[in-house]
Amino acid sequence: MKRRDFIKNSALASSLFLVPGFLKAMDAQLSVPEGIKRLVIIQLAGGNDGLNTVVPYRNDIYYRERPMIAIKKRHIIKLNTELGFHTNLAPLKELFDKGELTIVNNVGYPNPNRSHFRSTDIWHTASAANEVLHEGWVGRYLDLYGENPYDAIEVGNALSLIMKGKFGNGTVAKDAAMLKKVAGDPYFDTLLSYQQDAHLSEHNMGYLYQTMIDAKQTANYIYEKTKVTKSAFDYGTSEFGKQMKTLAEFINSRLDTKVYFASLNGFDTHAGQSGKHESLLKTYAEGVGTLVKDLKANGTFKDTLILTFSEFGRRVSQNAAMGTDHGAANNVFVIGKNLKRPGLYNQAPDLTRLDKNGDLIYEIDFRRIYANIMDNWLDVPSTTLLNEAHAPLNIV
Amino acid sequence: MELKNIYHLYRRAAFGIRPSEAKKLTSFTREEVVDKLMEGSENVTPLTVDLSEFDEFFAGDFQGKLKEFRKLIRKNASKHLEYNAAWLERISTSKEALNERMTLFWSNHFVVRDQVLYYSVQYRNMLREHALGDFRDFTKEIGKAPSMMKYLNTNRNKKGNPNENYARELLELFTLGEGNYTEDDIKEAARAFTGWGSRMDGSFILNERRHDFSTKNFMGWKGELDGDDIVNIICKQKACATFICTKLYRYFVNTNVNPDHVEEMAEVFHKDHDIKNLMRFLFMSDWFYDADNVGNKIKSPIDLLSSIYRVVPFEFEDHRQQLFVQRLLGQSLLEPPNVAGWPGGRSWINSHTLMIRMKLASVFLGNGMIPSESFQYKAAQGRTFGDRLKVSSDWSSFSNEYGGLEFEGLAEAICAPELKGGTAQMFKEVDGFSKREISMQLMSLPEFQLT
Repeated sequence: MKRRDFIKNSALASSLFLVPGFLKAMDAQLSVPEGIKRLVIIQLAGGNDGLNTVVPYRNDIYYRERPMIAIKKRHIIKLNTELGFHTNLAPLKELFDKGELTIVNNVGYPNPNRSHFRSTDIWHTASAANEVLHEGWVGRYLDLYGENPYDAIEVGNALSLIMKGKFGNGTVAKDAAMLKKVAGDPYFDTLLSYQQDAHLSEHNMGYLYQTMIDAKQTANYIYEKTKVTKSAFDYGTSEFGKQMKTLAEFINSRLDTKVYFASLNGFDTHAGQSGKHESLLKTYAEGVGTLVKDLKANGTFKDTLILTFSEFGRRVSQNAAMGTDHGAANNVFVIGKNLKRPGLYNQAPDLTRLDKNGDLIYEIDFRRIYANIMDNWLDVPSTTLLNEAHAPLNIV
Repeated sequence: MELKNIYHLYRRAAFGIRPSEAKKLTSFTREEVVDKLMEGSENVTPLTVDLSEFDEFFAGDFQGKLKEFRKLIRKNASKHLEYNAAWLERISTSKEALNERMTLFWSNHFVVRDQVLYYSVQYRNMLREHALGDFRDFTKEIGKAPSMMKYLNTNRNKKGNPNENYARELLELFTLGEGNYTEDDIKEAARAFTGWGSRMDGSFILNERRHDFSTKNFMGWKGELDGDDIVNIICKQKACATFICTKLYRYFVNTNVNPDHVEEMAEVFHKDHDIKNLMRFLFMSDWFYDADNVGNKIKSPIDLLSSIYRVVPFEFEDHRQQLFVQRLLGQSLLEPPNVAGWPGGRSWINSHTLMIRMKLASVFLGNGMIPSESFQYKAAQGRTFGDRLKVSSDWSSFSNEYGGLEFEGLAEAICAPELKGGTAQMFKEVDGFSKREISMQLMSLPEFQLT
């Protein structure tokens, strides 16, 4: 229980209230970690249609199986002679050309699960399909290597499983000023000053008191460190754009946070897919594209890696409602400065060889990507975070 | 029945109880109290807002009404706000409390999200009607409701090229749960739901040209199965009873499931699928009142709001602000996050939502600062969180019901878990506060987050 020592936390929490503002600010300046590597994880929630994202635009089977919803050749930005982006991913094409994007095709896992919730859990916990884990892999990272509740931050409304550990969780942070305001009520200080560790051992009560302590600590830390950094970039008005802006401000403030998580919802396109999907791709690509520019402008891009995944891809054939049903293998994007194998990491999906549901068969286990990031980016042995060994891919 | 058990029953099965009513019930047995609770929900009152402007539009067919439709869409939004507020008021005040509790449960089980309020109101009233009824009939009905058919694309499911969305969620989330069916079962079930649709008024219609009448092979049953047959076959599986009872147990008893207790429930439920019988069995069980199952469940935001209302009734001047608060806390009644609904339990709590939740009582009922010995509270200066919210509160109701209670009685009525350790010590040592202030302090505790 390294990071969950109540005495340590409460001592730290109360000392934060006593140190005058300018000292705290100086303290923060001194402790700016140099060269800290950050990982940003983005989930395209709902099951992104990978085939309409990275399109096999020369493949007859693709056009035959999707007469109404296939991306027309004139809407393709070519990546090579076989694959091309949907035109709304233009911001990613820039990164692709600069060697700052790796696209991994056919990522999945054995015995794919087609439930959103179960498959999301599998990706979040890095479990096998037949294994139920209750901690997310970032949560396990926090348990073993974390020091502060803000080591991992989810920019969103609720804490996802990926951020939950056995002993502690990542933090949700969306609006640092509001959090500071509510957490600063003097009543909470009085209440905490009366607590011994008794409450903390109780089931949900302990969780509430611990979250309260974390919240007060996080509120002060994030607010003090981020209040001067306001992004100058235009992220538009979408919820995802706002999340990306918050992310940029957190990263550019040099918060001592190792992992960030955000998600973009709406990819469950069972019906009337085309317009919806295209607009989601645009939201995603513009958000991430602007984030990268913002990070570059502030010198933080070289230490930031952005991983994008979706819980599954979609069926090769369209359905009756001009949409697609849940599928299996899908593509994964990795964005960063010094990628070992930028561009297309592997072959396009093989549409002649589908499973009995008519879905793409995986070629690369997603945990091999995680292993690579754990070993070479977060600098912790992947064997300590993954239940079984997975040969790391060679992306970073 | 003991006072603490009465409070527990009413917190879980209803939305709390006034201290004076709870005291009266102490002279009755558990069975009599549960009977009274059940009797209160024998009649079901639909909930609606004035939708008369929409009636004519939805009475006919859509032909030639596009212009009118666009006009109505604009009115639809403000009606949404009105309905959202009316629902929370119903939850906080209804005499049919058990049925409203069940309706809230089912609306997070048979989840839909529908922008068209006309259908959304219809759907929720259908949930009210079946909330304590026969689960098989209930499951058949929800599938045929326009809100559900739109949400999970059953209305775009046709022979030869089926859409699996509804079939999958029916098996995974509504009845059996993961692991109790195969991918082939989904494909076969999807065919049984082909050709489904609804008329403008929301009534169900089977489009025979789009329906697949051929033989289906579902869970060992073979024949020209239709959607109702699929539901009947599902309900024959014991796994269905176990799945539903597990979910009810998590919601009404404890998020940590005791498999023996769930098995007892499933035995009862599998016999007749009568939801009312099942709930009576649950509330009569000794283990429902075990110390482990009392005051340890994290309130949903709606529970939190209604439990503040129970102590001091409050009202938002602007429906929009009420929706804003619901969204801030992560649960706006008509906007579930996805087809699985809100996961509940600890997922309601993170550093952001917890601190806001603990500030609510002071924001709604006081000056935005929680009563304390600090200068900030006494002077009540500066901008605090929530100072733009316009909320009026009825403290006279508090004085009548809670004004005469000593501290212990007040704490027991307001907080589900007993105050212990440092928290109890704090209330002993810190004095000089009025009953009103003490009640706000109680409602600002982590303990108040539990039910």
